[in-house]
Amino acid sequence: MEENKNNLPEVNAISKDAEQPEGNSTNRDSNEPEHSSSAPTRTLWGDAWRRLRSNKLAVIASVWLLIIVVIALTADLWVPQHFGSPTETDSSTMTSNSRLPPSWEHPFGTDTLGRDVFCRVIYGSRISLSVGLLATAISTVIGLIMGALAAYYGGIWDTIIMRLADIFLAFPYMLFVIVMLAVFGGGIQNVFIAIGVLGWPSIARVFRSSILSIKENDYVDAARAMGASDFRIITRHIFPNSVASVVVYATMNIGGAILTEAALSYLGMGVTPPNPSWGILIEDGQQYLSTQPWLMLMPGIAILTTVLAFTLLGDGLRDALDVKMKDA
Amino acid sequence: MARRKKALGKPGKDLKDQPVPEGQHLLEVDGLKMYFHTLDGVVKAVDGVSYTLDRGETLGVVGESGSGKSVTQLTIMGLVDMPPGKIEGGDVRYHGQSLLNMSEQQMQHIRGNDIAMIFQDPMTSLNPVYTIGRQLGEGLRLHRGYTKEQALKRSIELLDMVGIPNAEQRVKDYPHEFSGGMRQRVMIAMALACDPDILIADEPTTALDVTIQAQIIELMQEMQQKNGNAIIMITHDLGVVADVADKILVMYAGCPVEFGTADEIFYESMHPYTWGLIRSIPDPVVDQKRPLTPIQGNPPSLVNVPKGCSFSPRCPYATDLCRQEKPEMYTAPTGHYARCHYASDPLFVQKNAPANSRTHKKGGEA
Repeated sequence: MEENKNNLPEVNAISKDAEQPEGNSTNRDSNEPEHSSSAPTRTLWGDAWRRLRSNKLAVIASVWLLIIVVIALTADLWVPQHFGSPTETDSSTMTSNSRLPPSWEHPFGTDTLGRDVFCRVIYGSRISLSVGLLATAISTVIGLIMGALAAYYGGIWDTIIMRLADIFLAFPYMLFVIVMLAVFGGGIQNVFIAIGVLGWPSIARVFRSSILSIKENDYVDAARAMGASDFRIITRHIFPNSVASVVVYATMNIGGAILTEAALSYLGMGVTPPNPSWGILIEDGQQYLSTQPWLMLMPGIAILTTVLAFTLLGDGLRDALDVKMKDA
Repeated sequence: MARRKKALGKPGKDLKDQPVPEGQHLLEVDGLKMYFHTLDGVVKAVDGVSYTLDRGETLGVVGESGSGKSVTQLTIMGLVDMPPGKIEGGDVRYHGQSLLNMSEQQMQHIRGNDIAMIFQDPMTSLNPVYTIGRQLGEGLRLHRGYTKEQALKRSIELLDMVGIPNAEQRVKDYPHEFSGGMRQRVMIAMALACDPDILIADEPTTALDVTIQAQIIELMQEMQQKNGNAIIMITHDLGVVADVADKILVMYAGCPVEFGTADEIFYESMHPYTWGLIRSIPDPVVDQKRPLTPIQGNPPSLVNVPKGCSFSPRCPYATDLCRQEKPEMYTAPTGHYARCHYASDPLFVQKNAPANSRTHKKGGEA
């Protein structure tokens, strides 16, 4: 910052009387533009962003996710006006509108109760996306803390935490979620919490193993010899090196969480009708699979593309976060 | 947090800014013992090491792999995990203050600021996700409370100082964009960033190409002349220490077997193990082809150190006394010491000490 302040008047001075620049400031002047254009300040995240942009699949995936998120966030502004309410049924047109095939008026057709499927898929995306993001956030935070404690301090911490993780993993995941929902009651908040809390062991494991290999590196010893504290070593030296694997795992986990929510709703444990969720839409549509396949196909495609996009994004992030990847 | 660091970083507060107390040395290691308690038994990794070091001096620590060279210095830095390690006796005094009694927080301030370290392998000692500039500046930001911009500016100066061309551009590069020799230069710059009193170099040239080795050693000496810091050079290459060290500590099986000035070690050494090491140096000028004289056998396991003198199984002059009793330290009037039963016997030393090119040369001059 200080340097910039100092430079500013100098540069101004040169532009004013360019005829007779001082020796000292000419140097500065000739160096400075080269700096900022050819090599902007390089940081891990800045470089990662640049590499991510050059990965076509990852860009397509991010754009697709962005579109879905924007649609989900702005749905209230335009969807009901054009396609009707996602939840309420208009009894006067219910029978005439029942299970219409896709048309301009109803792009994804209508369901048994005459509601527009496109509208319901869009509102369903709100539930699915927030479950995916929130539940993954919960399990990632728990997993990171647990994994870091287990790996860095080792010994009894490691034993307790990893055995706890083993116990969690020993139960069939879906069954565990269902039992939790049965005990604490259904409803969307509990779905968030159940998926989030039960997801931590695998993230903790990934993080722990990557820390274990990273903390043996000489640069960790070098940082300690430099006088860095445990906290600084974990956050500044170990974490950035292991973040790639965790980010990848977490992005892919989002897809998993969306699928779990869909499965739960399909089984009637998640979102309660008439609220739409992709899982509920599939459940509603499955009995008409042979006659009106779009009822099931459309929300299915929504799940497929979203989960795929998260996976591709995760894949792109892994490559982008590897500093040693050659710049394209 | 930041305020505390700044207060600590104020000049005059640090030990290194104060004069060394009267009658004390910059660093005094006094009978230091550090044992590892493992499932296999007690490993006496550091067994009674003593030496002193003053500003501007270079101490060479030599010995075979596993002789406790590195772990002694790591103990001094407080970088050995305890447990399994445990200090069993002795003391380390820096500016007359015991490093072993300091809290972890005080030690964190000593590390990097007062005593810095260079590691053996420059390829793995730099964090791959940070630019060179950030890593160079880390010590400054930790110990001196520098801002990011100040640290970056100083990093450029440091890089320039250790002879990396185009430093202004190179601070923005990542470690993998540097060659091995350049990375070791960066490591040296990093270690010297906070003007430490003592620079511990753990085999700084082992992983480098021979042509680069000399450059790195020269650089360290040059920096020493500029900053007046002391250097502890850990190595198994007597040739390296011969050129740079003022004092040499020879270690064997966790135990210091001989300590003296470089001249004393090379020309008047008193311990058969040191003789063995000197005989193993290839002579650059040879009249006829003859094999090197290696030391027979291997170093002992530190869990199961031989009874008596730990070197006795490999020592060609070993007697029953050596195999039965641990030798006492024999200290010559100059402070030159050796741990051998026969070190005090001038006849024995004269008869068996190696006649290498160095002793010849010295003899010729005298």
